[in-house]
Amino acid sequence: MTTLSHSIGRPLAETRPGSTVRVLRLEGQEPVCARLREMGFCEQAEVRVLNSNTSVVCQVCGSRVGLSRGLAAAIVVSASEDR
Amino acid sequence: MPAAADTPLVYALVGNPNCGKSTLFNALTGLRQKVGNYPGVTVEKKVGECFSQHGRRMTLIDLPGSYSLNARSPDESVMRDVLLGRAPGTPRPDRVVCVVDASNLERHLYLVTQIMELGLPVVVALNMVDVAVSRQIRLDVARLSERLGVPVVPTQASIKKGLIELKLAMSRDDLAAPPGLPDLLPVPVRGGLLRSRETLAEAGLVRSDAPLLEPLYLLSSHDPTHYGIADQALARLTAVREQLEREVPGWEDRLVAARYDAIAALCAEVVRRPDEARLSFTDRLDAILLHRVWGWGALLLVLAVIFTLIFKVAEAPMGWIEAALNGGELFGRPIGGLAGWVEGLMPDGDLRSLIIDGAIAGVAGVLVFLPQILILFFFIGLLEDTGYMARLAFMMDRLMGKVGLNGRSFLPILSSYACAVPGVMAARTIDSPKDRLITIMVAPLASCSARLPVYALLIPLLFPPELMPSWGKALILLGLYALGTLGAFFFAWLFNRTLMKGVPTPLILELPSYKAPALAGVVRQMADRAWMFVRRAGTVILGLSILLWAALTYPKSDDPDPARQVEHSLAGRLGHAFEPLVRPMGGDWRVAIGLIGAQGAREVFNSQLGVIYAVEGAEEDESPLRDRLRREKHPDGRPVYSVPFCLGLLVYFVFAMQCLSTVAIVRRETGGWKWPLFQFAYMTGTGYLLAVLIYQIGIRLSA
Repeated sequence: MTTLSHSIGRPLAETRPGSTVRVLRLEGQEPVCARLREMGFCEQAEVRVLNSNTSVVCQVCGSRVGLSRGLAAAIVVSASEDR
Repeated sequence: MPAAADTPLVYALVGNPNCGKSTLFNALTGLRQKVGNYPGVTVEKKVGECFSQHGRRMTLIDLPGSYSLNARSPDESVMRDVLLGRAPGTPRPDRVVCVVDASNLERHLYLVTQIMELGLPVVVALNMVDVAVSRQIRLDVARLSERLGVPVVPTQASIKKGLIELKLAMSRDDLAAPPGLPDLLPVPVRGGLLRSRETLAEAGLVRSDAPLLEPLYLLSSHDPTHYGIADQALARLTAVREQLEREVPGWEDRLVAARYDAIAALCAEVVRRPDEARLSFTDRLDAILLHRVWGWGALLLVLAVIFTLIFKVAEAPMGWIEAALNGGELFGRPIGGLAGWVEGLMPDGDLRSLIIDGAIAGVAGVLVFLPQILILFFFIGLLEDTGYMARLAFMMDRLMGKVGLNGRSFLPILSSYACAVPGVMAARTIDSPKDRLITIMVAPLASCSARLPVYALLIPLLFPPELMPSWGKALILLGLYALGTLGAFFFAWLFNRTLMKGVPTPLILELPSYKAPALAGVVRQMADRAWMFVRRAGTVILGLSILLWAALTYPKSDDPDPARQVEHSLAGRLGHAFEPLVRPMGGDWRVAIGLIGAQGAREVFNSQLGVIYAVEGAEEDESPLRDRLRREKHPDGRPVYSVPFCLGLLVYFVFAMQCLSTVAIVRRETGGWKWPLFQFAYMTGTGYLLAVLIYQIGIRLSA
């Protein structure tokens, strides 16, 4: 599961709804990243994108979390693995 | 009441937002609860009482919901400080009840693992088990309890299920502090924390057996307020933190990751989820409600319904309250109301006048807004309970982002359309201090319901009496609301650029599943919030109306003409003194009296003018007063209430800070006089300048 096909990754904000991805790294200021980690967006965490409109809604750690697009752009994820 | 001989154990109720904690608190304590405030901060403190199965008294503190002990907002700092025993006036709880959402264990256990390290006995209430069952999530409760080392009780607070079992677990004599998850702290991090604690214990900042993470929670880098920590101690803590960061780089991130790893391992053992490839009802509804087009349609519809109800449905009960207190028509029959009853009971004199024109009129001035406030709070409760409020925040986030705020500022500003007092209080949930302050500064620019009577009096004066198209009046009313809203956005943008520079705080929120609202809870919350409004605003407005009454009554003149008496009174003299200020915007000394009164509470303007022009019953029906105003002339024969003057006056009312209750609440919420004074100055200054500008340009154009 942890083998990644792409090590470069792309922002969560550009991930298609319905895909499941893995967090590669967080790019942003420290307090923001700390908050993201505490909400479950740790490196390696599995994220399922549910909705990507004015904001990004995803399933992480079993619950539904909404992010503003700017924040979702700071989360770099692996290439999608569709289900 | 049982004897207080055996002091009851104190339980803290903690949990993430949306875990049903408040419902559980209400279910456990029923009506035996008190709402107060923590000293120094304006966070609501809810304390309740219940009895164990053996009749022992238990005290419960309902702490604000939070995701983590790393506090970011004043609400969250309160939770941390109470649990660490650092909140002045609140004893450290003896035990902690962690409320978790059974369908969201992975997230909610994060806070639980933090709480378990505090050295206090813990009981976990596995709430909303019904939701978990309906989603076919299976939980091994016994295994969870065994792995955590604490009692775990399944509950369903909404129908009071599992409460007896929970109380039995809470009152167990043998409840010991859990060991915390083993091997949670990476070894180098643990070493670093142990050394930090030693240093801080030597300095007397923490006990040597304090929870390992206590100093670091206190020093959470995201909480710039640090309630209750002396500056000197703060410097010490900062030094320790910096040293730890040097010794073990990235320790905080490693700790978060370690926690989630431990939780993931635990959940793999105790949680069985069905394959969730299928989109749930909530996800399908989100696809509409968060849509770029449909989402806005839904949002506008919701707001339209709320505003229509606030302004239309509230009209009738507002009339009843007015009639019951001040007299008027109730269901088509004229009644004297409380004022009439007192009038018949007492001989004419100052005391009667004080009671009727001061006290009763003052109470009416507050209570008359109650229907609108209740409707507003009911809908806010409804939106929160159904889960839509979090979506609203996201829909508005883009728009708010343009002026440097985020979606969390939307609710306070929305509330301010009814009344700025609950609006300013609602800003407490905003985690960024900068966003919170800017929101508080601009929220009173939203046209509150107290401005409405003044708008209603003045707008028709813009048209000749024989030509009063109702669409024109409605359009101008809409324009005034739009002006206030644009003003709020403009000043938010300006403050964000100048006074309080900073990057916008991005929005991240848990989005709860949509559900049918629990009406009992919504009504209860509405009542709580409305009562708080009556208490806060009521005392100020009552005091103010008594003061105004006195200013209009004394010193007395022998003239029986009430208008002469006004001129002779303190208020009349003040009006003359302030006339030079009002003249550039086109007013005379009478307008000045009205504005001085309105400075405390806007709606007083109408009743003031009624007294000044000696028009009876000006509060109930503004048309006689309006006719009187049309006839009012300057000494040189020009009408006072000309179009440029009325337009300027309306704009003044849109912008000026004319509400003592708001000033008082802003002082409380910002902890000093600096911000309320600044707010008063910028709002009233803008209003005055615009009013003068409009009048001066207006008379030149019409000349």
